[in-house]
Amino acid sequence: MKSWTRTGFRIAVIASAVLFAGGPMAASAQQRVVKVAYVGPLTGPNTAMGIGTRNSMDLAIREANAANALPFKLEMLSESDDSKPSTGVAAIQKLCNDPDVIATSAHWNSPVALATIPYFKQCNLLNLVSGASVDALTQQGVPEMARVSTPFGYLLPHLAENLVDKLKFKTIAIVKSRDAFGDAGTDGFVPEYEKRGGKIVAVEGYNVGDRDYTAILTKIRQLKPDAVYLAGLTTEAALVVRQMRQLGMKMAFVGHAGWQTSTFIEAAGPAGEGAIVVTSLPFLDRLPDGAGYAKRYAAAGFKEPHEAYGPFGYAAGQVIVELLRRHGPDRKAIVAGVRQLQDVKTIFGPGRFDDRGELQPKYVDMAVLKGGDWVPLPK
Amino acid sequence: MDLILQHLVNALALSAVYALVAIGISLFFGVIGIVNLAHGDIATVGVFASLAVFQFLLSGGAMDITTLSAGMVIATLAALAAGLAVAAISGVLFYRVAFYPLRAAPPIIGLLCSVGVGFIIRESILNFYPNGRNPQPFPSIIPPELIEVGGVIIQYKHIFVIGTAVVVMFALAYCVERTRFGRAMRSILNNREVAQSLGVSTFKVTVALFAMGSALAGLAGLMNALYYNLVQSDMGTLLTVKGFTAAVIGGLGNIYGALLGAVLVGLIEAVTAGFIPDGSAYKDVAVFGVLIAILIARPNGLMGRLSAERV
Repeated sequence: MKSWTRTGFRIAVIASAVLFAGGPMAASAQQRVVKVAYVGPLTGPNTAMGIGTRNSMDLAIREANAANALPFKLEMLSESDDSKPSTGVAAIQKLCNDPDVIATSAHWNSPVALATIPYFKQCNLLNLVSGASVDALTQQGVPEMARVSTPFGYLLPHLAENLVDKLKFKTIAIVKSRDAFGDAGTDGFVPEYEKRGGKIVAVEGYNVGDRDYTAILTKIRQLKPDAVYLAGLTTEAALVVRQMRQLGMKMAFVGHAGWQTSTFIEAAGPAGEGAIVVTSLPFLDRLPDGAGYAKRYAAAGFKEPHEAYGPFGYAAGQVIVELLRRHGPDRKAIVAGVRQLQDVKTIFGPGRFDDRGELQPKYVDMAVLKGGDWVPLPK
Repeated sequence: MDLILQHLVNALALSAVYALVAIGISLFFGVIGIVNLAHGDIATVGVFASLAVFQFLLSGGAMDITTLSAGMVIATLAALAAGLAVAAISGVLFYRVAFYPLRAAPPIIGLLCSVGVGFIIRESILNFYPNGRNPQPFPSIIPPELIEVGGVIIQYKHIFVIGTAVVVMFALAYCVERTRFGRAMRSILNNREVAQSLGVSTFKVTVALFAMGSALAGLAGLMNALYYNLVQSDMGTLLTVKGFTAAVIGGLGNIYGALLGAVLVGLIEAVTAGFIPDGSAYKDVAVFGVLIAILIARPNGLMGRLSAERV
């Protein structure tokens, strides 16, 4: 009896020790949460793009959690930059100050992305860009900057080539937003277009938020260009093409993926029909996992569509999960690891990062708005 | 020459919308001494109320309703009436809830309050109106056909917007000059204390003025929506800035000054954007440059007299 009591006492002591010492350790291993974040236009004029991209990244994170792909759980945070540099900076500073945030995919608007580079650098936080298009983002030697989406450097030569050689548009008038995005869309296009024999007959800027373009379009109408190239975003593109048609301007309306959105289709109405864009936005049926992504996105119960940049948000989520799997939740290791990633699998198929931090290969295509939908431009 | 005329036509359409906003801002300042920076946002409320009625009555049908039918006419009239009514009610509510309790506070408090109300309106539309985060097409009820006269393109939209503004201006002038309400309003504009001592109910007149001015803002918003066929939650911000500028140029407190200011703002914008290479970069610079020049020469604006009389 005495022996039995002593044995029981020993068991109780050992069990208590395990509970007190091992229990919390086991619990912390199970409950450890690592945060990743999306920052983009979740409010303001480009909200649809931001939400579609955020949801898609969230989908990749949810899938990783469901598959227990990592020895810890991922928590997806999101912050709105409101398409404004000042708001973007505040959002990144907030994330920098949270040590549990290990990686981000931030900013759809290039001016915002340019403004936050020093803050990412300061806190060794990865920004795996899934939207912003200016080339300079990954050309400043900042290791914290990398990108899964396609920058202008790939898009605009392709656009110039198609406009001159294929569509035979020899004269173009440019209407551009007066910011880094509009500048990049113009500066990258003009030399490529002129190099191929095209002539720029006018370059007219506008301030983001303007609603009336009749004065500059009236000027352009007199010049009779073959096409009007809009280097800007959705709302302004819809207003410009509507006002072009109202002024009886029947020439082609061309641009890039910045306004290749479902919102443009709705906002421009019949006036947008026939618009041509160079696109980095994949037609899902041309991607290895495009159909599966669309199906899983629909099944995930998001209220909003994934929009055109959704696949890039999904790819950003996939890459971040892979980096966390290889390097663990360590900001510096993640930043150092992104350019070493030479065999990552994303929605776009097998890929690798180059020494600038750009995911390769890049997707480039031409699209036309036909029958109320963006479809591939016939070859 | 035809280019100049084309820019003139475009400018007048812009001016017509600015004028309706400027008049409300000008009159509110004259009567309560506060610049209402939420005035354009009240216009946005009216526009989205109208859009909601359109969307409900058309049940997701085509938004280009240029074919005439009884149903379409009823839908259009109901939607436009709803827009004006909601703008008027919003303006009165705004006055009663926000401005009236602050009537004894310094004007800067009222101004800040109006900034806050503007934010609340924009964010509410953004977050609570279905798909309010995106720009939304507004039904095209004006035929898209063009009239070309000697190389100058005149759209039915131009005729509608300018014509509506002219009719409203005449009605407003009649109301201000010839009706009892107009006399009461002018008496408050001239001297609030004397008006009160003569039995004028400043509260009732101010409420009526807010209803009228806000309905005018709603009309400006609807004309803007029908002209561009695209609406968004922050469209009122631009209307406020342009309307306020026009009101100051013309002289705060004077409706004819607001009208003159609006015409000037529209013309300066169109001329700068139309005749200077990449001129849209400088159109606001030009407008505000003229504003500063006018205020230096005439501190109360081109037709302003209110401040001088108050002093």
